[in-house]
Amino acid sequence: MKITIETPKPGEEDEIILRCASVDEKMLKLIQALKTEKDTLTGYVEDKIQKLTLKDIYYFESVDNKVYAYTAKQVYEVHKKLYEIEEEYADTDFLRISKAVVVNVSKITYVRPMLNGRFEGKLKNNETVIISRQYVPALKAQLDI
Amino acid sequence: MKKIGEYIKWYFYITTSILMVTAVVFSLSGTETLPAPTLWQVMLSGLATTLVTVTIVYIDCKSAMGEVLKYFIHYIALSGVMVPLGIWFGWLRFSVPGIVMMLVAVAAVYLLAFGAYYIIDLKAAKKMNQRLKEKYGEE
Repeated sequence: MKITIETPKPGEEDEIILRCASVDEKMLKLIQALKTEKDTLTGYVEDKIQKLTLKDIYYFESVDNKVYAYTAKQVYEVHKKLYEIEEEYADTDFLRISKAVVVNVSKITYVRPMLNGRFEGKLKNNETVIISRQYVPALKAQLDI
Repeated sequence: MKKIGEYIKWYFYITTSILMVTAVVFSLSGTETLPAPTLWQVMLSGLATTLVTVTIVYIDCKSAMGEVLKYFIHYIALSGVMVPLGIWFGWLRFSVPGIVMMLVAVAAVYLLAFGAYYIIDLKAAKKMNQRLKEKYGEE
């Protein structure tokens, strides 16, 4: 995709124009992100504060009333509740897969069943997440099955 | 509603497995005709063991050891339900060989029902993996 940045004339408002042959799923997500500015959030690690890009986050996990965001190599605390994350990013690739985890579905390499009726999701950074049976229908819906 | 659908699925897997094991046991014992009440007894056994199963299998365990313990307790609970039911239905006598036979039968039903469930899950996983590949493959 070609990206062109033009400087507006003095007095003109900043504007984003999308030119595309068809409004596909990727384009819709881009529009959604532009509209809501939801593509970043603040992460805290030790004494540092860092802006995290949503697409770099593999999953969110709630541990002892704290919520952590896991990227490929780093873990950040985020000052949000898991249900808030679930609601806020409902129209993105993030999906609740268990009581304690909201995963970025686009980071799942594959899923496989476990003998206990749950599924195991292998992520692109080789970590695994457990998908509770009750959330499997939601995952199927996310994948348009 | 989804939960009820799930429970009904369990009921069919378990009842079918009990029916299969019952057929094998009856054949091995040389019984030529299945007594009419047996089918109702099989369905009632299926209901009782389904209730035990859905109560236990959905408990979330944090560790692998917890999971193993959960399934051990599940098997004990199923046996605890099926031995008295078996005696009541006249499937076994209250004796060591009778109880051992029922424990083996419960284990066989367990393997069949969970095996069927696992195969269905494998199929579902295959579909999901296909869609994951199509949707996010290049990312």
